[in-house]
Amino acid sequence: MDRAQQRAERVASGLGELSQWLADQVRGGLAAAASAGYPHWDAIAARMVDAQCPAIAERLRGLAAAPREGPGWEGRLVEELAMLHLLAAAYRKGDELPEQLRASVRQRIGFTTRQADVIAGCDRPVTDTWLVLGWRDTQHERISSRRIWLRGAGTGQLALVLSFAAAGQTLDDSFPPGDHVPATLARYPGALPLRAAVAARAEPEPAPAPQGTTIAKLLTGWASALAKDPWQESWPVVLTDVTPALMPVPSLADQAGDALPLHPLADHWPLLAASGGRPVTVAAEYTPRGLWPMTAWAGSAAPVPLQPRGPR
Amino acid sequence: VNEHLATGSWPDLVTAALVGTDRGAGSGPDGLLDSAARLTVARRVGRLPATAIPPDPCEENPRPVTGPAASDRIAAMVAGHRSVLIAEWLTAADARGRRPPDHLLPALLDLAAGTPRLRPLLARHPRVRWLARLNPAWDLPEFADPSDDTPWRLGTRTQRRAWLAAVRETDPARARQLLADPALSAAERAAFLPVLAARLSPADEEYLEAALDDRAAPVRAAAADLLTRLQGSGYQTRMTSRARHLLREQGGRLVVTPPEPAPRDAITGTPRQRVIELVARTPPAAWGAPPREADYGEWEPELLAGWVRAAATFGDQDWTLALTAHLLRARRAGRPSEQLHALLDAAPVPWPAELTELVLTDGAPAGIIAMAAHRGDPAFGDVPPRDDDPEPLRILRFRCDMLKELDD
Repeated sequence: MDRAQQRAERVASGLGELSQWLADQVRGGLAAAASAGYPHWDAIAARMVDAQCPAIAERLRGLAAAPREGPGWEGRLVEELAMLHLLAAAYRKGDELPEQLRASVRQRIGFTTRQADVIAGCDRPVTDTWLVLGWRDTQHERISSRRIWLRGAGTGQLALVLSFAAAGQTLDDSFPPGDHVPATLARYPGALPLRAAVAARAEPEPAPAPQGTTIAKLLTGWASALAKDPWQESWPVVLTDVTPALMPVPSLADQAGDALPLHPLADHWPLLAASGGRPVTVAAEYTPRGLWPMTAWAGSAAPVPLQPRGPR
Repeated sequence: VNEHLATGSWPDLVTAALVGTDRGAGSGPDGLLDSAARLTVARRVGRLPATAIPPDPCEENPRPVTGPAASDRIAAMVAGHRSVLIAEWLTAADARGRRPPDHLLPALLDLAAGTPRLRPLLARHPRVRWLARLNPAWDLPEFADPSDDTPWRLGTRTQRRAWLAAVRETDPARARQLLADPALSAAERAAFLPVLAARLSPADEEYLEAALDDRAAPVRAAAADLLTRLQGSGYQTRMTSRARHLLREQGGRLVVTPPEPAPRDAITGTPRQRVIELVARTPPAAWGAPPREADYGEWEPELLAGWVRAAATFGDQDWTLALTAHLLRARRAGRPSEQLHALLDAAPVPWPAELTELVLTDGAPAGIIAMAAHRGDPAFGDVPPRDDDPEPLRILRFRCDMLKELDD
């Protein structure tokens, strides 16, 4: 039995266990699971590590803190568990799934592809001048990660470059928000192939404020992204002439009067300060919990990177 | 068709999942998770826009933002790199008619909440006052709007004083008129009078002279302190003429004749106290050049105490330099350096080159060297960097680069 086959079997049995565990949680009631604390979640997460499903393990570990993440946590916990249930079911379908969707499922379970293989195996690399829409940094255990969102100036294509750093290392800062970077990107396989590896690139150069869209069009784009990959949780967008608002919750409102809330964990003050209460162009990551602003363009001024404030 | 989808109720489904399918009627756990997954995707796909009410926009700030290098530096400073120098960056930017990048104001306001000396430097930016009204954590008295007198009518004493200070910045005469309100208590008058130190002018003299006759001693003392600093005031003339009779040179020694008590002008107490008060309240230029060392005689403690205060009050560079040299020598002779610290602490930033050089080269203690690094003439940092540069030199270089960038 070769390694790949061995892993496939481990994953299959691990996901069987996960499905059973998910059903048990719902049978006994999530209220009990939520109050059970970290050991409860760590135990199943450790099983998923053994079963070589590291991406699922990371999600499960994150759920232990769900009850402390503000109002509506019950609904978010149900969503998370339901989408994991769907993921396990999708993996079991195997070859019945379209090839690209199968790649998306495998990626969310934790199968990785080496960057060099992506570049070597890509038959249609995309060369363009990429506008850096912005960064979103996150921290998991001791690993920092940075999502760098790009939009092709010529092709209009969207792309996501990931950077990871262990403690003491620094994340890739060679894609300054708001700049243009000429580059050739090779896409990772997937139903919604956003993630890309950088095959070749040039130095960044300053760029003008980008063209954007409206909130209504953002939601249409988001819906068609979900139609391709229902597990997708972040979708990059440039919104034109949006005004930050605080009431009833921190939001962005466009000229048509449509608004979307900002992500409750995003710091809305730097964006509000940059706008002065006037319409600005904002590059954001749209997520089911709201918009995460990354970069703002106010008037003719230089792009404003909206990193978290305070000591880093 | 699944029953949860049929009812279409997400809240019902969440409730069922929370209490557990064992306790509810309906589908088993797998059916519930199937429905929840479908509803989750359906709800995400079907997301409708909401509405929101943006705040009234802020008035425009005509000052341009600092250049890219200066903006990058202040961003690093608010993130924690040499943040003790933020006040100097803000002061220098202000002197050049520039403003900090708007998106950094929230971080600067967070710092100002714990560092009062930053507040006046931020208060002049309309966007700071606008943000302060939107976030209770930043709604500090210093950011009050001088055109809205609510704090004056209804506020605490601290809020009233801060509002009066804001009025003093925009309309000095109006602040003085508000102080003349007979309804103010003696404690309020004493608390508010020092607000007039900002934008002090001859127009204030008549009011301050009258305050020298106030019933309350703290009000009289505050008025005397302000008149001391008022260039060309009758008070300064009275002090200078008293000073003329204080010192006499006799056989190479200084002979001191203490002044008569003058309670209205705050010359009170024992003869020694009266000498200190008179010297401290007389513009140093009245004495001519700073006296050479060893000439101070038996009155040295009083004369030094007075001159150190006077050098600070009048911001006199020559006297600060001469007194620093004297106090550095005295310290090497084993005397404590509190006065040196007080003198240098009051010297305007940045210090002139001579004072910086004196402190850096004349064997000053580490604490005083650190002061020179943070407040001295930054031109001393304009030398090529080396790996073994001591920290004070690195600080001077940081400030030198910081000020050069602000000129771009």
